Amino acid sequence: MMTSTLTAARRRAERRADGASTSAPTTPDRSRRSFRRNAPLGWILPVAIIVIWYILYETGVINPTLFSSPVQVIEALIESMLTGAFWENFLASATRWIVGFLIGASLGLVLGSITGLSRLSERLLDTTFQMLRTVPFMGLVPLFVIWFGLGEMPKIILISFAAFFPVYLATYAGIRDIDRKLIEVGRVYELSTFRTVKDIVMPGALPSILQGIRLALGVAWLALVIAELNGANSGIGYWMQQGREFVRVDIVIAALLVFAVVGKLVDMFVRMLEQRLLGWRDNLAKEM
Amino acid sequence: MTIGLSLYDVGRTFGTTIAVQDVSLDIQPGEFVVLIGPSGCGKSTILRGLAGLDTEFDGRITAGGQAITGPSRERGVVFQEHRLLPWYNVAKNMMFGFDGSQAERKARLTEMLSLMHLEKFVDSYPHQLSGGMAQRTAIARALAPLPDVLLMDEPFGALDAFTRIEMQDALIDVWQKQRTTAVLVTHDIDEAIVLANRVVVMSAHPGTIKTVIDIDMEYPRNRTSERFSELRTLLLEQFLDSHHS
Repeated sequence: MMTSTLTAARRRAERRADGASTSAPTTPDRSRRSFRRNAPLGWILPVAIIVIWYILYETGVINPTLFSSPVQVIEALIESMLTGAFWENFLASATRWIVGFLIGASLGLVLGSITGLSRLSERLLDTTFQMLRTVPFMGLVPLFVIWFGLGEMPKIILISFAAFFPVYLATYAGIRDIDRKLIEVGRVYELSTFRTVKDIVMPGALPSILQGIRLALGVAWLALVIAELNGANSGIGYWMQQGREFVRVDIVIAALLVFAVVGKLVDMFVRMLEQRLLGWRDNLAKEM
Repeated sequence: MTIGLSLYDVGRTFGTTIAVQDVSLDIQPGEFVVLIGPSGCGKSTILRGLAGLDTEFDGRITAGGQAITGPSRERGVVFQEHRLLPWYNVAKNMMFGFDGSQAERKARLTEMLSLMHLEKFVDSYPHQLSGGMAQRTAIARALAPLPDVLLMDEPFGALDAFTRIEMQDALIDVWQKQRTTAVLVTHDIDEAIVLANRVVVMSAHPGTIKTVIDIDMEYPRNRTSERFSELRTLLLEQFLDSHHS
């Protein structure tokens, strides 16, 4: 089964390569087609849920004090957007998230590369990171609040901490999993260490690193919510907290919706980045 | 410039296994030598020694009279798998080991593309190539920096019979044009006769040279000629003999 799939893929690749005019990479075209073909399918379920939710609310099946209608949620969202309160909170959240993610992911990339490339650093540092990794970052919130108070610092540290490990682990594993045979090609051409890293190690580890980045963005998003629910005076989490205090279910749901939509958009962005950067891969999933 | 290669009483052990023992061989500048033998006869080990990828040998291995201490751009290597970098296109893979100005690069690339008949695939990625095309790109990569020596470890072993014949003819063509010293490892007797000036037959356990046979035929060689059949029989006898002893 597996073999026949691979053979078919190879034959397809050969046919593609044999036809002179189609030898140019066909990836962008195909991905656009697959986007058109696949995207609407993925949206069927969310739309259906909203429709059912609306019907249940209108027919009185759900308690209106515990659950708002989708219309009310959208209204709450639009209202806060018009007063500017939403954008203020959104900006605060986005800033924390991006700054925290950038710090954590950069450290993960650098330290993951160091432990991936050097045995000595691996022996020196990896145990520590593996131990720290198992600490649930939510458990750090009280400690950070005691240490740093309620300002921006504890939030950004928490988000960085959460974003660090997926990137660190993926970079380390990506570098370690590189085909020794390709490293040998570098030796045959007497490449410098710098060129070996640039031409062989980093491109080889890139798929793994990007996967780590995608994971890290998600975990950082989660850390953001946790940080903002534990003492903040701005941000989407704070907005949600307010909604809870004033028993505004519509605001709580609107905030959740924002979290979901932004999370999805970011994931789409990283996938796009992956397709652009990893166009060289023989992606079977893309062809089927 | 073309250089010769020499092995003097070369041996190699892995732990307690003797992979190669007492191998001495002189390869002349510009000569095409094929090492043939059953698996375990140390032919690939010797090639890795010539490439400088393995330096733990007893005895002496020299290139142009100089002891080999490590890999060098002067000795191009082609492996059984193409080992192209999947993230680079054909052009970048071909010129991977080439140092020179932009203009020199461009000129050399054009030359290699036409030599390998890959002009149309200059922008293709390795996964878009057939096995034969990928291996042609790998040979071009090894030849691009104008090496003195071309070392090949079963380069056509993974290809189907028809592609293999095509590749052998292409290789002879390229070798005659580039005038490099060539050493190729194979277990295919026909391949040895088509390519070699001299065929070195090896036997296993421990890996030693059993005999060396001169191939006295003009290039390109006719696979269906009588002389070809005679040589095939001769080699086959040696081969079977070395296998059983």
